[in-house]
Amino acid sequence: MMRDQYKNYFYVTIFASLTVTLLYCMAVYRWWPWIDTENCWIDDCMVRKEMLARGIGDRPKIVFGGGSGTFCGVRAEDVQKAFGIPTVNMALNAGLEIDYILSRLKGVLRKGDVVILPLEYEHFVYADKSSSYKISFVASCDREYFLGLPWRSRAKYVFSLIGFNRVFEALARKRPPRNARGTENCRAAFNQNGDLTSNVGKAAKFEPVGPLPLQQGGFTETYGLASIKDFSRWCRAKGIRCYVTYANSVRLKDYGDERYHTYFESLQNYFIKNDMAFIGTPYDFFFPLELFYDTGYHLNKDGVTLRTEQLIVMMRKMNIVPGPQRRFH
Amino acid sequence: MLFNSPLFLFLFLPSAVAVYLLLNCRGWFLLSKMWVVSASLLFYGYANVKYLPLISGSILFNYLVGISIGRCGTRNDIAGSRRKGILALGIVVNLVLLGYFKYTDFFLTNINNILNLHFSVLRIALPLGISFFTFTQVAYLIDAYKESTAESGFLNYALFVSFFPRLLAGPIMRYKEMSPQLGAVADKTVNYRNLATGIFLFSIGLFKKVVLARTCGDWANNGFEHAQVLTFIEAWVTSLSYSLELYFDFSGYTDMALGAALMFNFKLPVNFNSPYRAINIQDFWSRWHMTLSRFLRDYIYIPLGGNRYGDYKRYQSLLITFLVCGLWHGAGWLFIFWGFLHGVAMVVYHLWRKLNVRMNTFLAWILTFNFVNASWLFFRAKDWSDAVGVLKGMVGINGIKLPLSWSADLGFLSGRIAFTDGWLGATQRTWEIIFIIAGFLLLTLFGRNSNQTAEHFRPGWVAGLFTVSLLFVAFVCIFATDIPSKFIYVNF
Repeated sequence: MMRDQYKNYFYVTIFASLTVTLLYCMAVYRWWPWIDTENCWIDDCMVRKEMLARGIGDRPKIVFGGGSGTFCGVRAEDVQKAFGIPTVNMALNAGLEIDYILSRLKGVLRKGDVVILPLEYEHFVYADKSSSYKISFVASCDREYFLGLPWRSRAKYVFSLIGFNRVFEALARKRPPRNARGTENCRAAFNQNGDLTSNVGKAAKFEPVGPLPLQQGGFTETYGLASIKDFSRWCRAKGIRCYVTYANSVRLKDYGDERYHTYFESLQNYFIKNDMAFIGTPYDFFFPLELFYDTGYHLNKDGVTLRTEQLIVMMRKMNIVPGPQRRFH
Repeated sequence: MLFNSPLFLFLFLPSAVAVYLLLNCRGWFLLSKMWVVSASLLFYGYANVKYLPLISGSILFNYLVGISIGRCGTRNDIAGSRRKGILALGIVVNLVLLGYFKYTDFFLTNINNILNLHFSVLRIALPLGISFFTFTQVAYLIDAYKESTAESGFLNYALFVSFFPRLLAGPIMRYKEMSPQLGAVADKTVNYRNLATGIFLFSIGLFKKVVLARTCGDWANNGFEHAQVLTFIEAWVTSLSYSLELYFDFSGYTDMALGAALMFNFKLPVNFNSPYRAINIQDFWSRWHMTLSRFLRDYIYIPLGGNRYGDYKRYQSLLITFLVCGLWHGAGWLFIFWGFLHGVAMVVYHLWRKLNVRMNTFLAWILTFNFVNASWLFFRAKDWSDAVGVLKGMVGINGIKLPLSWSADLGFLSGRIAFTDGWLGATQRTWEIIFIIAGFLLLTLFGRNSNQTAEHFRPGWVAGLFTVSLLFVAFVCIFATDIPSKFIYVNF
């Protein structure tokens, strides 16, 4: 009798604890879009930008992709005027990480388009370790992408969401399904070309930046670089011309150091080796601090004008306009 | 492989237990022992395969030494001297091995500092659990010498030393505790009582480690990062968090070891008995890491003379024993100083006892607990200044400032007392942290400890719900963490 009780206890305990854990994980997986909607305004803004790009129809276009450094660094409107070709700034938030940004870009690109990627250095050195910010965003705001991930990545994502602290904090925020106010703010902040319009002068609070993060242990192909390489190949296969370039950043003394020269050179060699077209060198896109708005990646209106002019000159020199595919360096 | 890693929990342990019991059910006892030894070596080698030859060689060497001691017999003086010689050789080789891996860099660094020399430090990686398996085997050799209890079967001996539940951090076991269990056929069948009690105890240990120790550990780490500037409340939160972390971490490990061993029908000795309830330092050491205390008493304190040669000799033996205890924990002056503090406390306690003055129990507990709590600072700190920094904070030298997050509620105190946004002040959870620490402390003081709970264990809904809840919370915490946190004592 007693033996049976111990036996039942043993099996039931194991079964029940595993089942309860599994059910909890499944609940988080299923209901995360209702648990944490904190950053879904970003998705709304991306959807709005995608609508702008799709609105161009079948005409060839120039598309800028990247993080907020591009959103607050390039004026697509000026590029459109300079080349007379529809241009959209699709960039928004670097925190969503390069693999996600590029996968989202694929949805708006068509044969004959030109895509220019002025990327932050975080994208180049990005290892395949998704931030909790991105995971939460994807799990709640872009289910299509989330459900399309391989099951191992999905499991990894779910595991990073199930922490009790995380769930309770998200629940305590009591956000509505979509943060409507954030969405409106975002829509009002950009023009018909997807350019930021509110970065005038200097923000009240400026976040200083240190030197760019360098790869530990010398230059190797990171997950971020591999993602860019794959995207570049995908573009080529689809008849889209892809150019990698560098984000606008504050000019600092450190960039005169040998280690930075070496790193930038390695980066350039990597692009050449992998047949990836690129525009300029990192040194072309360092600007004085006074041209920045609220962080070391975000230019103010004057800075954007200057940076875009510079980019247009380089694009002219390289004859970058939508059309049949050629090889560039 | 760590007890709190998914690999161990969901693959290694279940398969190790299942195959062991299956082989035993078929009557293949030899094969089942070989299975456990292989599984244990896999468990050990998983972290770093290059130390597998070390532990295997150590097991083989000590087995041969034990056999040689046994074969010498005690017929005459020559045989006796030979036995002694072989024992001495065995102990020396073990200590040299331990010394090489654990103390070489410490020794070289000190030689360099004292004699202003420039020997390059070897940066030898410490093999996991070396202190534990070395002490286990030294004890075995001494017992083999004293009691002629050397094991004649290599497989039994290998299983005794390498048995994975206790390989990395004990409990430190004597061979005579394990040997009857190795032979008993009744212990080899599927015993659901042991399986149920084992999982019950294991779940308590797992919860202690991944929930309680982790929670306290985060606060302790935060505090030690700001050791030089801790205010009164922050310093107490830091020190108490560490005392609790260490207890939950190590006793959690031991509960898991006992629970896992029970699933194999092995009973390991208890290692903790609510140590923070101790009302004097001797009482503390009879409750904390009990198997190490027993080892130190039997193999160091008593051979040094113990209490047989008068008070002076006893105090000397106590001090030496605790210095060894400190050095055993780690190659560093802070560990030695921690051992020294406990040695001095022991001496003071014996001097006090001679006065025949009975101290109020609560006062005795306050003194003991605070001494233990303060001494852990030297155990934990990276350097002297960190330990002293936290101590200074605890006695109010850095100022008795309140966390900034309280300024709204305690605004009437502004002007009389300062508010600061130190690491604790910056969080909105200050009260929460203090209440949780107080709760954990009360739990360790007044709650049943895990061994008492396991003794009273009866299968039923209450125990079932309790276990499932512990495992569920622990599993979620494990899955939500990228890298399982290491057990503190595994590093020793």
